[in-house]
Amino acid sequence: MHRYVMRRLVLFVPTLFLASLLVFTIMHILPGDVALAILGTDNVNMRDVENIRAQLGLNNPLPTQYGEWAWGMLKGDFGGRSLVDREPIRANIGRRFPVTIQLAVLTIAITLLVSLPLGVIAALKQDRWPDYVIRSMTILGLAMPNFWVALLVILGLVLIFSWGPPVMYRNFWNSPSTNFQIMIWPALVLAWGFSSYLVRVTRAQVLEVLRQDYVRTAHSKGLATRTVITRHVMRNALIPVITLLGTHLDATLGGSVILESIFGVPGVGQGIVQGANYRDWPVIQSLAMTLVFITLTTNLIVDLTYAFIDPRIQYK
Amino acid sequence: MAKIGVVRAGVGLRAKRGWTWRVWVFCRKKPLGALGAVLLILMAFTAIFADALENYDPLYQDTPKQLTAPGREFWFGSDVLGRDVYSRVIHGSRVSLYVGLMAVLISTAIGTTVGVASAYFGGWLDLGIQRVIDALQGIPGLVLALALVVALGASLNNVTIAIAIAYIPRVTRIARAQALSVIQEDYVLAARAVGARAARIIFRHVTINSLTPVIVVAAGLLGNAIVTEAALSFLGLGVPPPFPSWGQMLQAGARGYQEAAPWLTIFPGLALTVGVFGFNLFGDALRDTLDPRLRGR
Amino acid sequence: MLSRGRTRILMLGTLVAVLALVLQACGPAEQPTAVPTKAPPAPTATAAAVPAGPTAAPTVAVPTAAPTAVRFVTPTPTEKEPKYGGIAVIAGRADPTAGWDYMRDTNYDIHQAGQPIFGTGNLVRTCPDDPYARCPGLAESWDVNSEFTVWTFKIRDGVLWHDGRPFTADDAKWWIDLSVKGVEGRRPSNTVTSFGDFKSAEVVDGNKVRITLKTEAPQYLLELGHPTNVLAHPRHLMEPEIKKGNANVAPLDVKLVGTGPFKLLQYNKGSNVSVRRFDKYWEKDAKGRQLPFMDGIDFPLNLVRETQVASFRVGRLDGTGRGNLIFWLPQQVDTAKKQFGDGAAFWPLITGGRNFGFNMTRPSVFSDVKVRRALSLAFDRDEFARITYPDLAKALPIFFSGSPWVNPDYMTWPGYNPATREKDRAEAKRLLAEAGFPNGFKTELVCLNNWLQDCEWAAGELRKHLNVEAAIKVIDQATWNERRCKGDYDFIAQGASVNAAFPETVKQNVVSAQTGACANFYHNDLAVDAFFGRLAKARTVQERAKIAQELERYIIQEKVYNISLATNVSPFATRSYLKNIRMGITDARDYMTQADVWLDK
Repeated sequence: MHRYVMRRLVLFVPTLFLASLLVFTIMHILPGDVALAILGTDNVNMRDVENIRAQLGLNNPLPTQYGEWAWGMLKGDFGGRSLVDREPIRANIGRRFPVTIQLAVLTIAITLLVSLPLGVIAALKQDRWPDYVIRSMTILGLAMPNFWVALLVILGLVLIFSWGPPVMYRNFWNSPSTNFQIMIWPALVLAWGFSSYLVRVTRAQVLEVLRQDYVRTAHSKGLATRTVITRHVMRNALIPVITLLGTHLDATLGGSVILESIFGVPGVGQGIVQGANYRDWPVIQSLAMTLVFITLTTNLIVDLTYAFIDPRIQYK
Repeated sequence: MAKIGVVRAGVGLRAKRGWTWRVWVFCRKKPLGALGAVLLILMAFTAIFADALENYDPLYQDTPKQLTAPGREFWFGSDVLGRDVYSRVIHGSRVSLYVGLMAVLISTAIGTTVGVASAYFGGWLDLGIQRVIDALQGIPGLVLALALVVALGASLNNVTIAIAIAYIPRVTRIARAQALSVIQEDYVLAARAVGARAARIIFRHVTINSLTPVIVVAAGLLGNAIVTEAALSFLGLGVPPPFPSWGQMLQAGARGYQEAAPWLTIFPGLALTVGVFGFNLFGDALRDTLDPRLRGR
Repeated sequence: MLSRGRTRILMLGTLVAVLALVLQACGPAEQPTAVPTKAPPAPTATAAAVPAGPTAAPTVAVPTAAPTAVRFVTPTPTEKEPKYGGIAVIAGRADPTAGWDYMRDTNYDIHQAGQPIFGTGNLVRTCPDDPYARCPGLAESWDVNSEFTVWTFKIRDGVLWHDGRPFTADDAKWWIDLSVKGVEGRRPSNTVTSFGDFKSAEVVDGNKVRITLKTEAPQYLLELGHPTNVLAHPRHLMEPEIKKGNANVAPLDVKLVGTGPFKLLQYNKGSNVSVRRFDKYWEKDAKGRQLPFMDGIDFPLNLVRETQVASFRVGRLDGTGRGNLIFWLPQQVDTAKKQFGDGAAFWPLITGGRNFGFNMTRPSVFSDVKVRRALSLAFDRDEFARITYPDLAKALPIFFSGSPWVNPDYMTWPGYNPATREKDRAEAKRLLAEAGFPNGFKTELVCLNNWLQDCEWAAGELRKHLNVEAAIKVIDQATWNERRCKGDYDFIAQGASVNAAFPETVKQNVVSAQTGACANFYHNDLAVDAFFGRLAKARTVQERAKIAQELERYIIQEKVYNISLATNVSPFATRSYLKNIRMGITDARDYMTQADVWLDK
């Protein structure tokens, strides 16, 4: 086990490297030119565009550019400064990162609180009305695009309560109540979609585990149903659920790209969209890499947890 | 166990009663699944016969009649350019079905193959593939799809491909995780012990037995692909006109017309919901039916 | 003082003709003021001597307001005594880019929260009571030689930067030089065209700046005082930075120190800008009251349209932002009107026009003028205007209707005239057949994703009337910029910037590719550039109007490089307790300082 953990930690490095290559490549096959954003689209001279490109080193060979950026990431200045407004990217990330993390944590917390119990109930009451109700709700959560739900929420708040969330974002530590009034809405919308997956998988897994021989054995040993469910069923059913939690974190973070813009939350998603508008390479790359880092770290943790929970998996 | 199920279903009866009887049993046992199947058949029917079902050319704009409420002339109302929302929803089923099915087919085919192979062969191959998949997975799906659409250019096929690529890591991880478990099962060890060929073991034992979670996920992805297309539309890079996609219609309506012209969002939204609903219900039933351990229960 | 000053330097239409009247209006107190008073005898005199001629006639219709619908009742100015205090919350659109550098960005985003800090314009600025004229800004008066080549501006006393340093003629000269020449490692400003055919700037008498031009420019102030040309570069803070080697230092790098009515309190990137009263602001209102009235303004940024509308309805916003993407739809206005009654005002802000452009620099079906004309004739501009914004949007050629430069008879042109619609469409089909496409053709319409509806409409109309299949190629903003600037298209849906109120605003979007500019339709026609040379030298408004109208006819009617359809209307809302709100009529970026806006609650 010890060696497995070590191995995963070591492998984390090439994964990050590959991801950075991937991010870099995707960003550099996009059409569009940051020089045009820097020059402004009024009164642009194509000669200036070329000069700017040369100045910024955008005409350098790609490996060189990659090397510079990657080295910047490693040094901790996250690839220097924005090409458009020259803000240090470190400051940009420092500002946006906590916002997105807070949104993600809030979303996951709500999701877990809601979906695990519902998933188990749906499984235990399989093909009876609680099952149907829960499954229908989850499918609605899957079927409604989150931007639609978000816009409905905003409109609904106006029509029903004549209330809307505050318009100016405040940090949690500066103004917890303002922060909560803003963050709770995107978190709820995201959590609805997210828990819809989780409920379904929890249900499927619990159902499957219920049919396993060891559960039957446990029952026949005369154990109380409650004990069987908590000791045998839950423990075994949770494994894929946790995997899914990890694999869907990226969906949550991706969804926040839209919700952040609707609810005026200045997180990483908003930063990526803004940066993409100008093709501000270092900013988009570094912000995307930040998201990648979060997801990869979570996946690592998930995998390690996986190893602890499922004794069937052997690690060489 | 599986055999018992088949016997109980009645090997002898099968010949007499035929498929109608089996459908009946399926409907009795899985009413939601049957509902899902009905919805999907309906959707497929709509997509195939869209030209016959339409009231108007979905692209014909009768601008003086823009934003007409639903009524005798326009069953689902008309949009900003005076196009018939009903006809557009009908035709939208084609785009949505296409995007959903193709994206999931591509991602599942690639994802399962890669995942199972990776789990089975292990070693350096596994190590390498998993790094790539991990790296790909690290990029949030929507951001990845968005970047790919910008890079490839927005078109029906490019949007589909972008969504498919964004789904590959998800399928691969699930397939691999399950395959890892399956490989440890006695029957695989036994097959290996008797010296069965790798391809045979992979397909007969590992892949088939790893499919359950893959199918659950794929069924979810079917609907999800349609929803993702809608999200891309919201960001301005979904399936471009002239194809009327539900996502594009939904986002156009949701931006500003939600209160004054709710029919612009309700009908495409409903179509989308029903479509995703059908995919998911059917997927669930499919899972129950396909899983060898659950067969016949 | 502003409203009374009436130092109109540009007398439009008949006003120009009636020179005496103008002199009277200028008032005896400010003697060196209006250009016409200093005008050399020959040209202006002749112009004045030919008053109210046929060319002058159209310009009589100087608009005082954009076309208003019942939906858009502009509140009447209040006679109430203004109150001091209060903080307004007015949404912006997005974060200002380019380090808030007006030399690099001309977007509304940068102006909405920027003008309270930096003020409108520079030495001169748009007059509050006549958007087609320029009034004193940081210069209290000016003087020009008889050749219109040497302009001398007297800098106002008592203007302070927000950090307490006085604003001097040296500051102004430094800013002009930086704009026009740049420094080592820094390009000239994007607004460099606003400085005309510039030769030099120098400080004279300690408190005057003299700008010398290479060629005569009777209308120089119109260019100089363009709302995009904002003086936002404090010399005492930026020069040391530049000397340190940071040539591209931007206002944001030196903490946004301006001379405007409000100073920056905080800018939380991605979230909001907050400004608070600058007690030592130089300006007083007509009755001598110290401006600004409000204690401050908060600008929440990056809220989508629906969120802005909802926040306005529940009272979280006192005003919504200006610009494309976030403007109010007619249906939203109707709903909010029901809720607020007279409690809210909706402003029919015009932010350019909607149009389609052709690329003339590479061979395509559109190389044939017959094809271009056929397309132009097929569109029903009135219907398009109705769809884009009922009652407010209006068919237009290049210039805003109501401006002196627009052809007065444009509504009778083929393609514009509703009476000849059927005839025009028949002619379109005939032209297409003559060009060799009796059964239509296939092409690609490059379309910015924000303008998808326009493209769908256009493609639908072309399919319906000409059997032309225009496949819509949807691209995002950055891709669009690149393809447009590099001329990588045949047929493109344009942004708003081909159409404007002033020829100078239009210039950079219509000149030839030879000038290296990022034009909104791509061509190598030097004749278009020549018009602008003539415009700069025009001595009178009539003469200018004549040239501008020729230019308009040339582009739209004769060559059909561009199919302009309708004005782009982007209404915003304010609560009625915000008094003295003004809306830019000639340019959406005018009057954003909010210096004399006050809160009546």
